[in-house]
Amino acid sequence: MKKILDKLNIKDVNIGACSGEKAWFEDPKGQELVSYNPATGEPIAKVIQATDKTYEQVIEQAVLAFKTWRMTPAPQRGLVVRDLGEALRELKEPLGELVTLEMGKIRAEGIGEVQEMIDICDFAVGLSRQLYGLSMHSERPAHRMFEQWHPLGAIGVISAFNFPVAVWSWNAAIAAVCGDPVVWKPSSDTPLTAVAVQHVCNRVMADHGLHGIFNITIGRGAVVGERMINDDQIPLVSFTGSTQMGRRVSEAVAKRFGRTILELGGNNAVIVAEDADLDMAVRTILFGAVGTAGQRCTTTRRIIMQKSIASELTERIIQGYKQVNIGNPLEEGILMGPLVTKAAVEDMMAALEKAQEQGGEVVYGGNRLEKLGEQFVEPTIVKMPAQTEIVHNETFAPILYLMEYGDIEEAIQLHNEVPQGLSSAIFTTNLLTAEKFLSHEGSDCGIANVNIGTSGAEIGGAFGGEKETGGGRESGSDAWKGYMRRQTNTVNWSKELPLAQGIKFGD
Amino acid sequence: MHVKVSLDTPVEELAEQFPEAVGFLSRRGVRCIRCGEPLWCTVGELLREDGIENPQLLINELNEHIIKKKEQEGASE
Repeated sequence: MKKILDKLNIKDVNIGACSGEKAWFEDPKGQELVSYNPATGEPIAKVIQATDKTYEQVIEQAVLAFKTWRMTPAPQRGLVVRDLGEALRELKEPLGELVTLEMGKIRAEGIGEVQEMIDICDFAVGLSRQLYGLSMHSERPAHRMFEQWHPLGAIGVISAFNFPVAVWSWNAAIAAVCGDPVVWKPSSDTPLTAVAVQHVCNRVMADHGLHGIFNITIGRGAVVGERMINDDQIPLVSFTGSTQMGRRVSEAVAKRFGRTILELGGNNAVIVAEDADLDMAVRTILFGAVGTAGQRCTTTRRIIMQKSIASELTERIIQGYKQVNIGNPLEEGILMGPLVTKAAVEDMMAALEKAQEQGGEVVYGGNRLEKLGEQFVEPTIVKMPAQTEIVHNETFAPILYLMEYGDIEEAIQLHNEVPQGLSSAIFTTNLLTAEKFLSHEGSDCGIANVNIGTSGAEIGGAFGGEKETGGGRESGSDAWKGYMRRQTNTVNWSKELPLAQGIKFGD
Repeated sequence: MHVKVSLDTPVEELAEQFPEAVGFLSRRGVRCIRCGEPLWCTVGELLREDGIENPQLLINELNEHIIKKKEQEGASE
């Protein structure tokens, strides 16, 4: 463990408010936050949390940095992000291992998460030369009409424990090329990965003579989070977390006419049709439901399977679950680590009790694995007689609900019945069924896939969902537009003053 | 043992210090943890939002539950 921490410059006690190499802000009033290894329960290191005073110091730096950063040409901003990607390449393994150490996902997934950071940096470098605006034909003679995209300001990013570094990078790399400094409030469960990333950012910023572009303020939601969402110096808050918290964030930011990008709860389903390739479906369901111990926003939580294949599919999924090695996520061959906190284990067990009260039958798992540690559980499969209240709720744990359907209309109806709308998938070899699922009478989610699962999105597409998932889009495609302000411009290059709509006024 | 949790306790603190409270409240229709993270409000705000008619009564029961749990753990050590 010490080797990993040393490589990333993590000390026994770290400061949780920073704007650059020479801008670590300390306040004696700052409370200690201990980060624990969820696999062992042992403390890893501490962070001194931001206070009102140090939060203000960080914001001041970010707001100041915006004034020069917005005037730096976008392709030059891209060069800074390019160097950030290079610095992350150098530290891919230790940073990935710290992700594993701090939140419990397996090592391959931890390193994969850092790869995602590198990928989005590469994407953002290209994007820095492609922040295109349209030009429109004016209805007035000798006029030119076009639009420009301008930087927005210092923006806030509030991320969750489950992707402690990748979600920040989806926002930060894009925002940086768009000309926006980023102030990051990471999850209180994963403060050390944020400190490690800040060290990398500091080095890159210093190489370019910069500070205040990438900033952190680590602290509780009720302290730092509330300050950020109510801070009118922050024109945009990108929030990843629950629907309940998203509602609070959205209301607070809207009250001051700020903007939000919300990436909230998911309740993702895979429909398995009678003509599906079951080998592919089973492998995909296994990764989607058990990967990251069921703690991804895109985790597969519901299987909606055609009656005629239900018994066979259920049996094959159970056989797959039996092969899952559970243990210390840093060890080779382990496929599932612990849940992030003891509270998460309690939440899972309470949900399982409710599922059974509502007619569910646990066909696999359902138990704590205390021999491995207090936060280990069995991945669990529950056969439901109907899509009851508990199935409508997202429980952030490896619980997979199985349900059956008759025809595809019923499958889509069940699929869309839940309040969330993040990710979805169908397994079928029938083109008509696949197209129906992707059509406007099909899946109501932001992400809809055919013959691949609900999780494991690439950075090139826009990531986000509909309904209670919040409607925000991050990462690829044209998600960058959320980080800029659009300005419509008209230039009159004639010596006349014609009005639009042919209006005559005082002639 | 004295009362540990009050209506003013932040849910973040509750989940960290008394994880057993999460299961106790969830079984009574109050969810402290969403998407794996505690909500930012106080326990009192959460109980009101979830329509609990007598929040103080539930808090008292919660404190009794925590005390019992600690005693059981102490006995088994």
